[in-house]
Amino acid sequence: MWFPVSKESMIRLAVALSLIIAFTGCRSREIAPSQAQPGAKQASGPAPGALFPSKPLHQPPSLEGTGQAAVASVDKFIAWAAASTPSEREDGRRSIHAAHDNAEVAKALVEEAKAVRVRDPSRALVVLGILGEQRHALGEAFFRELLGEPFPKAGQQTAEGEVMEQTTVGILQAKAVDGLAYMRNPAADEEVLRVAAAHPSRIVRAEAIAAYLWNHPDSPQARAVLSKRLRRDELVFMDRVTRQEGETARSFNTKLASFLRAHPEVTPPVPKRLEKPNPPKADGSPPSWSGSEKKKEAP
Amino acid sequence: MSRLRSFTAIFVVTMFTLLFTSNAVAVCDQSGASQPDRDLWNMHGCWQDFFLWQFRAYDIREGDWKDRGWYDACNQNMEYPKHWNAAYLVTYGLADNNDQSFHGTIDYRATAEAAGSLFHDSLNHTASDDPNNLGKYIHHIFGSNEIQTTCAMFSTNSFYGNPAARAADWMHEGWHGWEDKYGWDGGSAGGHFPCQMQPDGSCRNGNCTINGCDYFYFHGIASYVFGALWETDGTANRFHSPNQVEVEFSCDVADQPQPWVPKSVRDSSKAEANARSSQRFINGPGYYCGDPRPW
Repeated sequence: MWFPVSKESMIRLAVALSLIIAFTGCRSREIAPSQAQPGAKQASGPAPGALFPSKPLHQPPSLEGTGQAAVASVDKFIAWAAASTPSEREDGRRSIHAAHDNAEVAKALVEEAKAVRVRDPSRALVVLGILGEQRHALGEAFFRELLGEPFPKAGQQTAEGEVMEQTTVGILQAKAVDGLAYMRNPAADEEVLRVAAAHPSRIVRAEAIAAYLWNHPDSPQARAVLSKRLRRDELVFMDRVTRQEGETARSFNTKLASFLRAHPEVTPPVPKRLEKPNPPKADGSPPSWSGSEKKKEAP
Repeated sequence: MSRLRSFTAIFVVTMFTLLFTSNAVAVCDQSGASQPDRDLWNMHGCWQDFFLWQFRAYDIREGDWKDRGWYDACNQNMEYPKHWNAAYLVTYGLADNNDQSFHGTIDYRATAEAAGSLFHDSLNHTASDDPNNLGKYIHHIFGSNEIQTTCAMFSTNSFYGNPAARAADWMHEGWHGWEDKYGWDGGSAGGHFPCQMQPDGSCRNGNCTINGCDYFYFHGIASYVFGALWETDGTANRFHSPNQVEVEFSCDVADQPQPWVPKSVRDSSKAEANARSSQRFINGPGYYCGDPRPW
């Protein structure tokens, strides 16, 4: 259907179309034209090999103060700790141990852990690590509180059945159980044992087992206590193969061989081929024209 | 007259709507970067030579990433910069210690990068808003196969939104590419073995508590020379599953990093290795990485 159009209306329509065309033009200029490679709005920095040597190492800020000074000190220390390198581990431990008795520092760490655990769980991991190493009673109380929280029963589920909220909470609770076990007192140990036996998450139970054994090294008594509490199908976790930082191949391989001898049930079955594999792609070398080069056998 | 005004108004609104929505696709949370992403980023800054290499090495295409930082590759809140941040970790972050590492950079790079090789046929990397996956390997009949990295791997409020987890997921998905190339059956649950419902309501398969289980094919250190991860003798003695490659990579980042790899990256990598190793294997648990000392 065609509508009768007055001169005034024609002018309005022309203005509207002009605006649209103008906006179209603006938009096409607003987005960068198609480019073959990614671009940046900042100038490039130097190669990282030139940056790292200028990083000041072995200079952790101190963890100290009360009130707002403690909060500021904790904030500064977390920033240093998160960015610290492997060679700075002992520097960090010394600074944290120096603050062992500082309740204000412990309180600020607890508050930070609560503040970031949902917003940035990986930052919370670093904070919980500092709190655990400090071994303050406030830290112990917080670890108990965190472990006592109801484990999420539902949430964003992946196709593999993983509930994301469960993984995030499980990983943080696993870090909390590390801190609790490191308190190395009977009450904390009892809570670790309870978690090892009855926590709804395998992630947390497994970490509790590892932490309990690590904090009672080479103790047959600890193994005996633990074995009475664990689920039967998780007794194997006590023998789990651990690759410790800096461990040699010979040491690790000896432990692995012992584990496999003690647990023949963990031997996996022979892998199977697909009945109908996807057809191979033509993205390798073309077949040899002379037929002299045989195609490589699939492994 | 009023009908004409209505027509004009509808026409203008429609045109504006079309114009401003045609290129707008959903994107992930671009409001920030996780602590490990920021700490790793500070180790290189806006190093353009690297991303100008990386987009080719990972076959990153403008059409897939244009709203995700393709034009703003030094904005660490965007998906593409987070992608190349993780690629930086894979490329330079491992110590490659023959006496201690499970595998070497050469193995992990070949698994993650796009080029067709003994590890997998050629592939390209895309980003996806799919809320039901962390990452995905997709076999394409024509052209290269695809590794999708989803929003959960980019968002700060997801544990997986860190560079170590992102890179580890490429090992997992890249290993599906290895299975695909050589015709191995990883199982009917998205390339893994399904769990079975138990009388107590849980779904398990052996010691696996997820509906996507693998076997762990235990091997010693130095059993595979660097570059030989792709090899198998067709038996359980020399084989890898996707979750196993992911655990071994995460463990190598945590325990065998270069001297500059930040603690937040190592901590998140260790946490993921141990969590995955505890609950994803039918014959698990897999290895435990490091020790449980808090710091």
